[in-house]
Amino acid sequence: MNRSIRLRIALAVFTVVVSLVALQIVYVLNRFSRSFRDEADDRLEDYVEDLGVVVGTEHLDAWIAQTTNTRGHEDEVFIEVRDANGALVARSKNVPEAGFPGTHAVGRSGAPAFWEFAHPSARNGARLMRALETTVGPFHVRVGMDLEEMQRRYRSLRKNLITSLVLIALVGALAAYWVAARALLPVARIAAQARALGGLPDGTLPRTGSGDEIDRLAGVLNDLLQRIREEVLRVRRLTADAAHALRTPLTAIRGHLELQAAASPDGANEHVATAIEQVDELTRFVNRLLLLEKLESGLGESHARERLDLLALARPIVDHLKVIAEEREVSLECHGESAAVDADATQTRQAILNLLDNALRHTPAGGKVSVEVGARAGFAELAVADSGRGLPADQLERVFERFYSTRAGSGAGTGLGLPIARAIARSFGGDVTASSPDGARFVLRLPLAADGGSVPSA
Amino acid sequence: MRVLVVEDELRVRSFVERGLREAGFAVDVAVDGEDGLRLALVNPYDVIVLDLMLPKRDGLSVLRELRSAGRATPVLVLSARDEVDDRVRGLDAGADDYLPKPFAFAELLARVRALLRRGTARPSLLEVGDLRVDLLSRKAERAGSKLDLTQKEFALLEYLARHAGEVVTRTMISEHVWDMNFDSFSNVIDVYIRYLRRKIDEPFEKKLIHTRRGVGYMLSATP
Repeated sequence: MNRSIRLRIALAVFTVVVSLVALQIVYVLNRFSRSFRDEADDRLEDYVEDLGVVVGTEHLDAWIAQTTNTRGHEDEVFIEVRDANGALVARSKNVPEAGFPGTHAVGRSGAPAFWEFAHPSARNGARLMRALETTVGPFHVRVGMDLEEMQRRYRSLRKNLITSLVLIALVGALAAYWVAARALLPVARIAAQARALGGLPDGTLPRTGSGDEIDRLAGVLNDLLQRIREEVLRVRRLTADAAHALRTPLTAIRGHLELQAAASPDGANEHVATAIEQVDELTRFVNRLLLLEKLESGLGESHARERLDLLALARPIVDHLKVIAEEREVSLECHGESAAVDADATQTRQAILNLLDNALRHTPAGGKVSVEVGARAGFAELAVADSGRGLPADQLERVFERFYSTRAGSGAGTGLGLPIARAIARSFGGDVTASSPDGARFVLRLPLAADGGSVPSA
Repeated sequence: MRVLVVEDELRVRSFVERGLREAGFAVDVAVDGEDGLRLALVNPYDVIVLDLMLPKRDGLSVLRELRSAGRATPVLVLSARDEVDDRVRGLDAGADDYLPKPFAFAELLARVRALLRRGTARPSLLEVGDLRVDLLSRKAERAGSKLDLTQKEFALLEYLARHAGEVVTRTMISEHVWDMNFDSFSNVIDVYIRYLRRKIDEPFEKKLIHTRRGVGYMLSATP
């Protein structure tokens, strides 16, 4: 979620909007202050023009007083007039004795010059004054006005612009997040559906029908799924056909070998006997492969389900295998509580048998195999734990792959026992999982009988 | 005893025919459904071994025709297809027993013999040489001395004694004595056979339990 596409799009939109609007704000503020200064300069030039009429007459002082007295509600204006020798002719009251700071040299060259300085009465130089120095006839004239109004409007404009910048960026980001979330909704649905697809995989991904990129992607994925499904089914058919095709020749080979063995006195023909044993091995393998195909393709017989007690089912199996365990000097025990499930007895027995087979083959002499039955969180559980070498984490899933068999132990299996156990469990809505707390531990889970009801005594 | 074998696969037919002959049966063969049905309707067979996948007329159809013609001849159905489906359909159509391929010939022979024995009274006392197995009191003795057997050992001995003189496969034993198919654990049976031998054969000169390697076991007074 922290790196979700939605969030990334929203962040990107936010960043882009902030950058663009910020640039725009800088430009606008720049234009604003320039045009305001142009306006101020126009006004200063107007004052100078008016001054040109009164300077040198007796009206000068009165005009200055009148012009600079319009303040209070307007910008402060100051005027200073000197003669060619620099002697003061007249100035407004607001000009300090020492004069305003500025460069008198600019005016002396004859060309009019503008400059800015901080108003001495303002703290931090926050109040700016703009002034013009020029000549009117023989007089040096300095006219200035403060830019307080401009500054005030500039600040207010800046504040408004930044506020709207933040608002625009936030609204844009939220809108982008919302649009992205809406647009990505089908992705979430596709992901959920894809997770629910079985291993085959069966089913298709949902299309929105809008024809947008996501819809087209779903379409492409559906085509891909279809091809995978066809390929998987083709391979399965091939395996099943091959296994089927092997049955008749296997029967024939075995039959002829048996007659051969019967012909020799007391089964004395070792070679024939060995050949028969090998044929049996092959036959078992073919049968297991066919069983697995049937279970995994879901084409198995419609499951005849009956109410079973997992513990009652496991006990006799464990008892029968005790003789094998004793042979191998492995202790085998079974305990736990009754747990009712609705499943097929023969297949469930097969699954338990396969788990025990696996455990016994991987437990060294002096070791221990224990079976524990119980109920947990809506499932009946049968755990087979052994004291063998255990499994590294990366093999906990791989052991359920066909023919995956790296666990060294006495006697190699066909590599189909665990996949079969899992396929059986899954066909009844359960599963088989592996963990390796110490030795290996395999847990067969089957859904508890719906009513959690009692098990009829067999 | 006369047996009809209806099987189109030469490889299977040849050893079934030969094996049954060697076991003392008179054997007729048919290579397709039509031929099989014609022979079955004409001759009085004791048992018919019928494959399901046949040219011209499939096995189930042959079976139905035979039953609708009023013939009650015991039929053992062979099939290479999906076991459970075929078992159900075969038995529905009137088959008496069912054997999936691949099978052991010893098993086919045992099933044929079992079909022949059907209806005949089962003795409650089985004798093999000087071994006596009393099925009513569930006790066994050899040369007059009582044998101390566990329940499972007795069940195994009973099964072997019922098929005395015949080879029984591990598959047959596990299905009949244990009521479950051990598959990878067929050595469970070897272990029990060893227990049984320790009690029945070890103290005596003459051995009764014989191993047919690759096939199974046989209880017999003569090796």
